[in-house]
Amino acid sequence: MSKDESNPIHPSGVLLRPEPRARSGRRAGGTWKRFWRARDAIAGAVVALILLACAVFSPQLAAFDPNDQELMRSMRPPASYAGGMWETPLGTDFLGRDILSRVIFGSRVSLAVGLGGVLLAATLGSLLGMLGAYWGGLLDRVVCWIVDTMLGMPYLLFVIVVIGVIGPSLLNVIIVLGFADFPIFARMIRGEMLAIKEKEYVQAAVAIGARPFSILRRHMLVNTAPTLITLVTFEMAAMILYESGLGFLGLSVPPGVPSWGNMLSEGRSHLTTAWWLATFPGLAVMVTSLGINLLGEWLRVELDPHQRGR
Amino acid sequence: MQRQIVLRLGQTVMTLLGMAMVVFFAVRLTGDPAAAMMPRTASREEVDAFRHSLGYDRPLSVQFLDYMSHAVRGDLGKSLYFRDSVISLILDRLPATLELALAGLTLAVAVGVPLGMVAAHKPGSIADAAARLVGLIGQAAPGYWVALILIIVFAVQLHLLPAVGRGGLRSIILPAITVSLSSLGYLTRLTRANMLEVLHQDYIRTARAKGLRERTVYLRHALRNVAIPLVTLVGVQFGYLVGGTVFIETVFAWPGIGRLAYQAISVRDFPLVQGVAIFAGFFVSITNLVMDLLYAVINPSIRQT
Repeated sequence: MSKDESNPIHPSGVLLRPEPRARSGRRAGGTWKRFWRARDAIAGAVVALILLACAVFSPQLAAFDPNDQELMRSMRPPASYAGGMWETPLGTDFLGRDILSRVIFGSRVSLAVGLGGVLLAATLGSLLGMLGAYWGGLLDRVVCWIVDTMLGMPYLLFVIVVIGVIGPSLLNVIIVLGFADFPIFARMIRGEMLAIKEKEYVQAAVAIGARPFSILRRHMLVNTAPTLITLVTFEMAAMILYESGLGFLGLSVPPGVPSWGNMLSEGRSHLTTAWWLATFPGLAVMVTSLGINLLGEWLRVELDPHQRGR
Repeated sequence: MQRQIVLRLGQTVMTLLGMAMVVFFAVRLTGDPAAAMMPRTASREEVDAFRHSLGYDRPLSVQFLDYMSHAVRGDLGKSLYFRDSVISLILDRLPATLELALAGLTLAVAVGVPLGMVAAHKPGSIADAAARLVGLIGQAAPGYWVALILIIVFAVQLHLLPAVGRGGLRSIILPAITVSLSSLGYLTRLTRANMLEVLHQDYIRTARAKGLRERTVYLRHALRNVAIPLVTLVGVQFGYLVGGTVFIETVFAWPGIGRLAYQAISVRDFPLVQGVAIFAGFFVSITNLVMDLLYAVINPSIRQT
């Protein structure tokens, strides 16, 4: 009845256990060669690159200013529908703003939240997990208690409550999403660290009198990197989903800022007349999350020496 | 075994206490919830009087102990907006949420488990690809967006099902499909992964060697062993669904706990926000506890110790 068995899954969407691969037979070649064979991973990488490009080069890629209101062309459907025009391929909203341009600019918020939130969660989680596992005792108990408590809370409800209290803004969303997510990193890293601590090379380092900090950094942290990188990918996808959900409830960036969540929220009030308002930003969220997840799946197998050969 | 149960109970109590503290202090993060609840035009005296009427001018530790001493007796305070006790508001909406969570999970089990099994039967087949797709979509699709798309297609375009509200069997179809999605993804993946593992075990080979029919091997020998982690997963998911369907309940105007939480935040009704969050956390913890105990009961290898 160990704890890890009782809760193998975190609501954010990570199966904390490697899935056995269906295909067998050893795949030869280096990491790069295998990468080219992994079509899913390539699709995922392409999506990630498009997201990055959209976020960095939004002004160059978008045909219109995302906040440019032109009431003459308001509520125009996508180009392939009657009344649509190729000038605005995905249509326009009730203020005549170009949907495609807004989707492109919206990637900035998603990327910022994904990267910022995960960075915070991973740093805080790894630090606490590491310290708990290495020093044990009271510190470890306190870390475990915090982690259990936080993992027991419904994540989204907690995030919504805190943001509802402190008020929505980009920085607040990043901090709250990141902070609420650190326990999953802490638990994972702590588990890994406990296993690594027993390894002979760590024992050897202790025996020759290496300082604790140097052991942690040079021998232990390095060996948790594969797990950490995989988890970072999955959690980033999850955070992009959460951010748009918060935006959908009006609990993320201010209404004027083009973000996928805000667009979904605006589209919701025009469901009966203009389906394209909510459809395209949601599609952007889903494709992004799907792509990053695919990349994560590939990393999970690729970075795990036990799975790679299978 | 008994020692383990006692330990687990103690751990649950600690978690509940931790949750109550986290939520209690989270609601007071801005330092002064009274000011945040009053309109901006309120005068200083009005805010002070309001703060005093809520008892928010007492030291935090006193407020917390007072709140907890009421909470253990089932009193989570009074809602400012609905002018009713928090616990009765929650209990009013609990049936709707439970109904939705149950319907969603039933759907997820009914589709996910067979799909996972068929996928594991022939890895690399079309069924396997379908299972993988379901798993990925369940993980990546935002529930609130799927909800909107379902409303556009089935309510707005085809006029087949009601778009929002709760009333009769037809109204639960779209919300249940949306709720089931993420659990469906997990269940399919977990069933497939565990089936693949189990099918390589010696007892499966023995069963086949005895000349049993493939169907018997799958249903009697393999599925039974896969069922244990699945039951745990379903339990964990159930707990989270009760506390975590804020988006979906809001989209479908489903009168459950998630929507109550959102309403409470929109009107800045902090006592209600606090009560709902603590209730949801407790519900999840208790569900997890029950699942752990059940796990020990249904898993013979643990029962022995």
